[in-house]
Amino acid sequence: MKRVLMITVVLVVAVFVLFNDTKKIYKVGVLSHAKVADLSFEGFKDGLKGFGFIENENIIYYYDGATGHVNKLPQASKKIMSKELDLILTLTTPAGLQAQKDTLTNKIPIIFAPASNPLGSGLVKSINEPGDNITGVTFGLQEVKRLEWLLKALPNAKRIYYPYNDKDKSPSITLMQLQEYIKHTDVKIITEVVKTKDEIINSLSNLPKNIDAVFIPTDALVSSNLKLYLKTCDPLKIPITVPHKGGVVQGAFMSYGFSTYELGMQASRMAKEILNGEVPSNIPVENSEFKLRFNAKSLEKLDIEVPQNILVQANMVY
Amino acid sequence: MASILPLFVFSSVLLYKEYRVQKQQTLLLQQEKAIRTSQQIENYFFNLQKDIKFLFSITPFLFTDIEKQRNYFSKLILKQNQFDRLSLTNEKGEEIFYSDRLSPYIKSKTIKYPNLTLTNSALKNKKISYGEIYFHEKNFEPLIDVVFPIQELKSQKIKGFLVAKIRFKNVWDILSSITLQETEEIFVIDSKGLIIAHKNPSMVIKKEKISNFKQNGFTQNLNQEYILQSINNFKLGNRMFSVIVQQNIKEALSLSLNTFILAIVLMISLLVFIIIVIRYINSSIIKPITELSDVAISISKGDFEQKALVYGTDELSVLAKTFNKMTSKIDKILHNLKHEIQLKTKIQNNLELSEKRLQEILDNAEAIIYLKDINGNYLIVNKEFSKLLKTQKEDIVNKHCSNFFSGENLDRILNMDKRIIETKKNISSEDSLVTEDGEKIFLSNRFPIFDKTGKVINIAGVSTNITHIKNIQKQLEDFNKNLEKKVEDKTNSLKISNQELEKTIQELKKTQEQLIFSEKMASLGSLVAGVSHEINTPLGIALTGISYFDDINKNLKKLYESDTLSQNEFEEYLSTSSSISSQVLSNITRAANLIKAFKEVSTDQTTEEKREFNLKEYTDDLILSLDNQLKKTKVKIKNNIPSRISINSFPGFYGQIITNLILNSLIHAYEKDDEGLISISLREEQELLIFNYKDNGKGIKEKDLPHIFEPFFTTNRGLGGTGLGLNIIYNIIRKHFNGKITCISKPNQGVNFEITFPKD
Repeated sequence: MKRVLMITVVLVVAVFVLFNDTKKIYKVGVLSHAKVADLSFEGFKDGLKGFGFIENENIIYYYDGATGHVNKLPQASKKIMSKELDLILTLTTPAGLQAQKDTLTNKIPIIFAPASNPLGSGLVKSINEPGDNITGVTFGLQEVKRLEWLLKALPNAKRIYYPYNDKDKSPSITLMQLQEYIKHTDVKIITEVVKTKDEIINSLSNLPKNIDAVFIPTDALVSSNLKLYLKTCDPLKIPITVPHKGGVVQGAFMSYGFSTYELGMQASRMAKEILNGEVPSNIPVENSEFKLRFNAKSLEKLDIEVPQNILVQANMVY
Repeated sequence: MASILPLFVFSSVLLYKEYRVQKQQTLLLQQEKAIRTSQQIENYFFNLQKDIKFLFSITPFLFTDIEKQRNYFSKLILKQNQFDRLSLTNEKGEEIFYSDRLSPYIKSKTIKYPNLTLTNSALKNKKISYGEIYFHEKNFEPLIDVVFPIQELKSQKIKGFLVAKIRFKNVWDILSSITLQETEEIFVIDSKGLIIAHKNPSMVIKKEKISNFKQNGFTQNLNQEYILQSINNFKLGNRMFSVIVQQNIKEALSLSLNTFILAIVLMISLLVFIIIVIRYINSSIIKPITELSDVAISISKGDFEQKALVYGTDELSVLAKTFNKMTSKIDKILHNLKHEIQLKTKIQNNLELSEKRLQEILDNAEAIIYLKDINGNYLIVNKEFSKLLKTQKEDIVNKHCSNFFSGENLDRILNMDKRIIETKKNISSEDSLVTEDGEKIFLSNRFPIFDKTGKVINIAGVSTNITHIKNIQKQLEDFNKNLEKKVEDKTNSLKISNQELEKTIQELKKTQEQLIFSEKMASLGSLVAGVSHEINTPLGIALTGISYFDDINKNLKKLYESDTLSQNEFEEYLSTSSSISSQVLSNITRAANLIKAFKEVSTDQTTEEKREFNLKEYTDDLILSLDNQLKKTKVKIKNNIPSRISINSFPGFYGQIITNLILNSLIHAYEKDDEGLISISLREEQELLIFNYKDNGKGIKEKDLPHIFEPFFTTNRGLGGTGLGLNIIYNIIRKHFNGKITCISKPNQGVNFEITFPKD
């Protein structure tokens, strides 16, 4: 009878093990480099929440970063890497590059949201097939279109100030495209190369004269120091255009570009696939969606009159 | 076992039904999702169309200025990011302007046709035309061209077209919003199976195509996995599209699969349980009974080794135990019986063997042996007895002795038997029996045999025929009487023989001594001859010298007397005379030495007196005395005797030994012109002196070596050898030196005589 009892117990245990399904808790590391990109993380979290990944319930986020200090990134990266992660979200290109470097051996999947020029910076091999353990959302295709919108909004603007870090590939490529576009017009782009915050401050104290507008490119350094530009240009009533919604919220008068939050949300769709077992190399790099936005307060403050037919097409920010 | 078959069949039917129901349910759910998604996509495009139609209707679009038209377009693009580009063409399809989501408008210098094929088609059909799906060159998004004809309201004439590049990416968001189950996929394909919207964009961007997009139900997906699929087709304009919902079969039918697994597990458990119960019954009841019966059969056949197995403490086990006890008891009894029988058989066999052996012993005995009862009846007799009576053994046994003996013999036998019974003691006697073969004398020993109580039960007898011994005894007595006389005669004859023998020996001894003496004389003669020759030479030279001296003296005298002697002549005379005188002196000295040596040697050899002499010097003298013989040969003698040793002994005998050995070597060891070497050495060992005399000549043959010291033994008798040389040496050493001599030799390896004697 003992044998019968033992076999019954074994069978019951086997059935229990067969039908028991423990729920996995996912661990996601978030490596940031620019405060301006942190909104993407919010969108990312909200997006995943929509897919059923509830924070502290079945997903845990480990955020760390070095906003503005590239040399502190390795340390921050090392810190989050110690958490046995299922996925890493990187905010900005330097963060993406750091994470890519630190996952050479363990191949933890990485999603960048955003990285301005993933192909040029070497994050991916191609947009179609990013290769290895990295994919994400990019932007930048719309920059010439933004200039068109700027010129539509400010039909009299002829001298456009373009500060950029020539070490950053993204604004350099954009500059070439912009110059190609204005080739046959009377519009002029006045460029200013800045490599550090100090150089920005310095350049702003020697701002060229007769500038009609400032075009902040998709440049981590320049766009992260928008406040400095606003501080200088607002009193001079020089309107500033930015590539992202966040900049308009801060006070830039116009943008045609992505919403960092929505970009994060877009990336969450990719994250869901990866957490469900898809490999990053199978997920092509996506482009962010673009919107035309004006800041009503800035328009008023700068005393700018944007043609009505343009204004009606845009999303307004107050 | 048969009882679970209906259960199995019943479960299978239930499971099949469950599977059917779940499949149907899953397909229905999938269908519902596919339809809903199709509707959402259709709605999305319907709304787009509506927006454009609204654009055309709210304003007389064609009459609006171009700037406004462009603003309308850009506003449409911005509204929901639905369009990638909107182009306005004239009725020929030539582009008037465009508004793009990503690029600014740049007026082309040449005429451009955004999609001429599609505008022609729209012109012809006067309907909205949908083009093929294609991909954006920069971001690889799928796009579809849709051409909207712009008609004049009144005439309905087509005045131009709006060519819209509509983004399919928005459809991806529709798909993303659909709640899917695990492993469930939803995607949209065009009429060729090309995936144009998928929750995973890579499926779209990589331009994946599927082949099984017409069959609902079971099929295989791109990864060759088995899936359950539902398809819903929908139309956009003139183009056909399909929404496909797929799910891995394992997940799709997970409920029935789980039920199935559970049912299988339960069934297996039941089966295991039944098997265990059956096995339990089998092992606890059926098997023990069968085994017990088998054991009983085996035991009935005589195999008591078999034991019924005892499994526990139940009734059957008690039965088995009792059965085993009973069996082992029977087995033990049988075993004891068998053992007893075997033992008895063995004893009987031993007894028979013993009797046979006894009979054999009795029959092979030369004596007559018998056993009788106290009444005089024979019980056992042997062959000799049977032979004596000339009657078969069977005819003697159990018969009374009166049947075989009579008269005086019978009386004696009966008397003796009676005495034995009475006295209970042995009787030994010498019996005489007259038979057909003559009179026989027997030495008989009769004795009683007792039972346990000491009562005589048998009489046994052993009679040995001693007739032959008696005869020999008589003959021996006669022989002894003659022997004494014969011995006396023989002793007398032996005495006479002994006397004769003694006489002969005496004669022989005398002859030997004579021979030795003559040998000695011969040796001495030879010595004298040799010495004479040796002395002759120096004396001759001296004589010649003196004669010459005499001549020159005479000549000098003549010159002196004539007074003609010159100084030169006188000086020459002095020189010559001095030379002659020294020559004469040396030769005469040599002769004197020779004579002295001869004198010593010859005196010693003749006188045999004991005196002290130096062995080395004496030996040198001996060798010198033999110079004459040695000169005729090429043999050299080396005297290695140490100069310090002197002895007090007989130099004459010593000389004879050395001389004889050297002469022996010269005669026997070497051919005429052989070069040879003889060495004489001496060493002291405690109180002994050991001489070694060696030559390197022919040596002595092995067969001759034992005989060399025997008298008259010679291998050279033809050449005058007497055969006494070595025998004399042997005797001298033994008698005068109290020593011994041995010889080691091999043919062609010379001889080595070793002479050992005490110093004193």
